[in-house]
Amino acid sequence: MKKYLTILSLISLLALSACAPVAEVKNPVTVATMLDSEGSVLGKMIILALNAQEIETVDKINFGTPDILRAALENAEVDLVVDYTGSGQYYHPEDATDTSIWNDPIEGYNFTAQLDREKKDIIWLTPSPANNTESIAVTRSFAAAENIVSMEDLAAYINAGKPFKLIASASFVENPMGLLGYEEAYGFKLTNDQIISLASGNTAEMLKALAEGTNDVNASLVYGTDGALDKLDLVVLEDPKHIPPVYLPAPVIRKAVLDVYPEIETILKPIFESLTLETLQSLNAKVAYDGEDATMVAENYLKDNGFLD
Amino acid sequence: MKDRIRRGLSLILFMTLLFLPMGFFKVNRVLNGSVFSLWKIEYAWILVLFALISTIRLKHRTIAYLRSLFLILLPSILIYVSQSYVIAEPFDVKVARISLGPSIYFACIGAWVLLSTEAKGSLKIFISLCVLITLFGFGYFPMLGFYKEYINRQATFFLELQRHMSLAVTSLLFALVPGIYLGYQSTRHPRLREWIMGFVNGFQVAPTLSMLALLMIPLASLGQSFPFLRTWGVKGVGFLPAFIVLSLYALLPITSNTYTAFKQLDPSVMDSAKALGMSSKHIFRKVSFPLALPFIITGIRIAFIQNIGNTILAGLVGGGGMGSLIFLGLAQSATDLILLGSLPVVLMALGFEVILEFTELRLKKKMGVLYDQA
Amino acid sequence: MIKLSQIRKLYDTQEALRNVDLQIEDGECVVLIGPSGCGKSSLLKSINRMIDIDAGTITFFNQDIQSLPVEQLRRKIGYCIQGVGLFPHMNVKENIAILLRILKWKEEDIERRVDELLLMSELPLTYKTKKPHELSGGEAQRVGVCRALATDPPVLLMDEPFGALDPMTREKIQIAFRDIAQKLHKTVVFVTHDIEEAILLGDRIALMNEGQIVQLSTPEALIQDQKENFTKNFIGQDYPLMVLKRFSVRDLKLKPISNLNVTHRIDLDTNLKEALALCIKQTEAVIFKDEQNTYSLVYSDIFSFIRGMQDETAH
Repeated sequence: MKKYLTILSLISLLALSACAPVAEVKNPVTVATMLDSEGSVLGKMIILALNAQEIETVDKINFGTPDILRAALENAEVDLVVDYTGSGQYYHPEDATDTSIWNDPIEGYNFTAQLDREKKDIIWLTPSPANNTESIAVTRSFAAAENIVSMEDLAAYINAGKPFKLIASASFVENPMGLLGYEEAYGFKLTNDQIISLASGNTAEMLKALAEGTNDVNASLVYGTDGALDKLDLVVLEDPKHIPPVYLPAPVIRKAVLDVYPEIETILKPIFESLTLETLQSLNAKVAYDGEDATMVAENYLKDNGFLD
Repeated sequence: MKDRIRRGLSLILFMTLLFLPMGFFKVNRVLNGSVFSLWKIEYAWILVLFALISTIRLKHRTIAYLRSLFLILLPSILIYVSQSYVIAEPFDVKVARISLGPSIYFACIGAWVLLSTEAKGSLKIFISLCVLITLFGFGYFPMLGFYKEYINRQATFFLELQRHMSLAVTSLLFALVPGIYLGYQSTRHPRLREWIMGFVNGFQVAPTLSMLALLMIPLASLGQSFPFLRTWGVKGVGFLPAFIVLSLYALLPITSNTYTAFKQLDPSVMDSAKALGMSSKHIFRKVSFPLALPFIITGIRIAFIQNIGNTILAGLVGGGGMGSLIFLGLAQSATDLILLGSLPVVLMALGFEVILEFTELRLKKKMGVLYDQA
Repeated sequence: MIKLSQIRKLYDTQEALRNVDLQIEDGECVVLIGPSGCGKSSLLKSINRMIDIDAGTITFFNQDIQSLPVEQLRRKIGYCIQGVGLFPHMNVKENIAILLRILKWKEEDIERRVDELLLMSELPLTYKTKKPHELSGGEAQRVGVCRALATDPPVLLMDEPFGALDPMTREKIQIAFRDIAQKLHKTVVFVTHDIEEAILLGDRIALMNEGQIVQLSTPEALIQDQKENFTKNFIGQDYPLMVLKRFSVRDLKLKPISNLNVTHRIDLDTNLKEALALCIKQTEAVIFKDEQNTYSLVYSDIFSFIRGMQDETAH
């Protein structure tokens, strides 16, 4: 009995190691992104660009939630991710005492990049200028009918007691740089029945509810580069006081990997610099709403803009 | 009597073709589209007529054949017919898609229920599914949202499918030997049984997701301390944590059923084997193990089906599998993508259930344990 | 020869066997009988070490059973139990031949032996491919006996093997078993709670109670010689009638007579109890014949025979 067992366990171990995906072969770069359309598109762009320059990659696009992605990067499970500059507030909370830096794109970026470089050996490369920040969106018809263009107009509308319901993520609702910040800056206060708070930060559901008017929702949380803005006839309300943090997408890489492939910085810099807010919106819309394959969308973009032959 | 219930049920389900929505025409992937029912499609009402007629029991042989054929093809026909619906407003053909409505689902179920009342019913249902899947694979349902999701990411789909099965199967195999060993030892040492059962049960109670989260840290640090392990895939995320969690989950059904398998052995049989002068090795090999085997397979079957479902969670920690499609669909609020991820899992689970139960039954017959002793 | 000396067995603090002594001669059938819990099964199972005793020695053909490897001992002892315990996943032939296969007999020898055993138990050879669940209770038990006899062990231990069978089947199989055991000169230790079965099969009956052998005698001797009240109560008041079934008309050694008209169709193998019942029905003599001769039977023939048996055993 014992002999059989040992042999069987050895065989299973061998089978196991054969089945387990052979991870790194001569250090290819593991690229991982978040579980959304933007993660798909940007991730595929990075992979195509690196592959074209003969850098081997391992595709871990749509890896998981932001926390898991960050943990994976810090633990060297993945090598290159797409992250957002404003996230620095969560990564180094003890040092992020001055919250005003997050409203400035350059200061926020520098702060996060410096701390990550010093403390975690993680390097932030050139970001895209598209501010994927949290804003409030309404339908175009609603904006036209009620004459609402900016957050000040919205505050006036709310304070006049007119019907209003906002759908947003719990973290936005409770964030002093989120809804609470807006309320304080523009002088309005929402009651609990004027808010529908969802656990996840995913806006696809929320925007769908806004577009269809489900549950009397007439405003929703939206991210700057959301594809829905293109497709669902929605407008973003202007925020002259710049309340929420600035979130610029940027490639973030482990220092050890960058040392091996320093050219990654120069490869990705022009690509990311070319991604404006409108560009990202339309790319995201193609993947999320038209259902196009993210690889095709990324490839077409790179080719159309001369980054790929 | 059962027959009449089934035919009545099918009648009701076919009636829904008349009244419930047949499908949703969506202009893009996310928004719910406009509803349409059967009446919007020319001549489709003929199908309803035939479907209603088919619930009547007919004796004539040729008509019965035709009826079977109709029922087998009905799901495919209905979906095919739904593709022809168009809305008045302009739309982009590449982007717009049709999602199936409740009446089509009910009608398919109705057709399959009716088929189950016929001779060789299971075979006919199987053929119906095969026809459906074949037509689907050859692109006969181009406007179907489900198809569009599939065709836009075919390579990914099959890659994740393979990853899913490989994860489910290897984790099962890994748990197999320890599970059977522990289950067998539990029968020999009653005190050990309590320890083992407590240990194994403990895993079942902990939610899979928290197990995954908990495992990340030790695995990550392990991988960092011993770099050679990393080449074997010892990481906090990806294949390994999902694999470990799935193996631990597979342990309970295997161990528990192996214990029962050996405990249910007829004491008369064991006594006579002993009294014949067979050594314990002989007894195990020729008597205990063969007789326990069908019940051990029960445990394996349960563990495997459970694993196929649980593997979905691997998608959350970068382990791949159909779960990554499901979660992406959830994130993008694209219901057809969610379906693309979950339907294959359901079909696989059902398929393996049928196959393994059949094997079990054959084995039980062969081992003579299906019958009561005279 | 099997000798049990001073056998003691404890279950927790309960004494199941209390210093039991018993000697079983070659070729004889000793029946252990008694009420539930008297220890008869435990005593039986101690012989092939299915139960381990706490004190005392058992010798098997002059060898202490502890000195042999237990498997070797058991291969020399056939064992049949009430549940039969046929292997449900093997057919009849494989069941019978299991030990022969382990002992690496040649296929032709195995085939021959199985046929031999089946014929002896009056089972058709076509049964070889049947599975146990296809057999009736009686047939299954017969196969069990074949299996026990496969290696031709000198000793058979039987633990209430026929208890689960219906009365008609039971009677048939009891007679068949007795004939086989006698023909093969097997030493048999048989446990039962049925006194009639004991009378039919046993050369000697060991009556047990509360872990001890209360009385050990031949069935005939028990008619008169009842040592304890317990014995009287256990065997019952109609015991003498039961003993009649043990003998047949042949044992009367009737002298053939000249041809008279036959009154009844009985024969020399009819048991005496039936014969006596017939004598009661028939006011005159019972005239019957076998192939060669005609005989006359009256009830006094039966009585003098029994008296004769009792007188014999009294000495």
